[in-house]
Amino acid sequence: MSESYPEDIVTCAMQPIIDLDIPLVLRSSIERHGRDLMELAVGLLNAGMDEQHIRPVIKQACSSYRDELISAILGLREHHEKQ
Amino acid sequence: MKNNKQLDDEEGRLAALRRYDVLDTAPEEPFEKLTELVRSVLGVPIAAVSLIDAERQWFKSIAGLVACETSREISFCTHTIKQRQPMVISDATLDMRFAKNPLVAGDPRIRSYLGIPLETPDGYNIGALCAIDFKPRSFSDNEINILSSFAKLVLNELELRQIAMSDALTGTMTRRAWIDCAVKEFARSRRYGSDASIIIFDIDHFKAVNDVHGHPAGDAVLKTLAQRCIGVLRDSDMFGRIGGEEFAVLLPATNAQGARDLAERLRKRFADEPVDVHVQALHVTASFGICGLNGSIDGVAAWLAAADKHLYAAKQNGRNCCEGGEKQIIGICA
Repeated sequence: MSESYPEDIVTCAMQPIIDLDIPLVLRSSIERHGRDLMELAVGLLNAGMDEQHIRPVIKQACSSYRDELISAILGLREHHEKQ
Repeated sequence: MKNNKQLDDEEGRLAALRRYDVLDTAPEEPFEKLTELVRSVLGVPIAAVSLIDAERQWFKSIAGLVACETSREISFCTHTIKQRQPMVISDATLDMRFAKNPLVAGDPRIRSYLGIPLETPDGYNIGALCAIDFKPRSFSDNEINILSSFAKLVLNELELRQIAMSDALTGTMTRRAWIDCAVKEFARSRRYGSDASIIIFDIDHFKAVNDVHGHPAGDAVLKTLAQRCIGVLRDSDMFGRIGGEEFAVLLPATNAQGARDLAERLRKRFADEPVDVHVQALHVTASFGICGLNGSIDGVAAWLAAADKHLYAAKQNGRNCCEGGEKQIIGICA
């Protein structure tokens, strides 16, 4: 039971990333990021934090990655167009 | 392959750090968000992404303190990167390594510290994510695990950046990444008056390879020649695919003659070793233009243009040859 809501929190936070058109070369990075976010969510839960507090932390951590991901996608597209 | 060998390989570690091309870049929101989160989740006044350069620790992000860098010798994170495990200091005044440290004895009067090494996939600790307090405190296993998770997120963002800087086919830098690095190296060479050179090369008749043998064969040629080149370059050299079949190498601390010698070695190796494509061996050559940095070159665009001029001359002179780089030519590089 306690492990299901970290999963739900991470899935919700990752949704805006999943919706992006992701180049193949970046997919393993996204999978790894999802796993690391899950580990963080479980860690926060184990430290006694409740869902209400975990959710914004995971959301913020994920949005940080999303900013970087969008830059990476744009950079790769630009390079691809020049080849 | 990760083992403790990388912990003692300072040259390799610095090369790994340089590959991320992050030192001396402007503050960026993704990293700021993570250090702010660390601060609030762990309840510490300071959190930082600290990268350990040769002589300094430089903060990609620091929350709770106004600082850009410190000397390496007083840095706590310098100790963190010497190990694989987190470094926990509950009271710095009781630790002989830090009791007399100016950051402990004076402002900001650090008392406790938790640092997680930022370990690259190839096993180098390029820096640390750290949480710092002004009062003595212990860090629980849960808190250590949480900071370790945040450290993985920091690495993911750095890795993402590196993927974006890499040409997926050849593994070399993209044009944009190469130019960014070249701009920094140009500035560094100017500041210290040190040598630096550019080699650019273009695969001869590459269109015919694609037309006659197909694009997979063309891709195999690009990958093979890039790998041969990587095999002879130093960690500090910067290698990028700057056009379809055009590559550039920036060689720090190398004069024009040294660059010319290297270009000639590469040219000979390309010409002597056919590329295996399916069951065929394709004979492929490349033309090279070399330009050492000299006083009349005012920027990377001019430097690249000068090397390109020599590359054009190599094409005109029958291809499969090197032009530029000789001492007598340096004077007309710009």
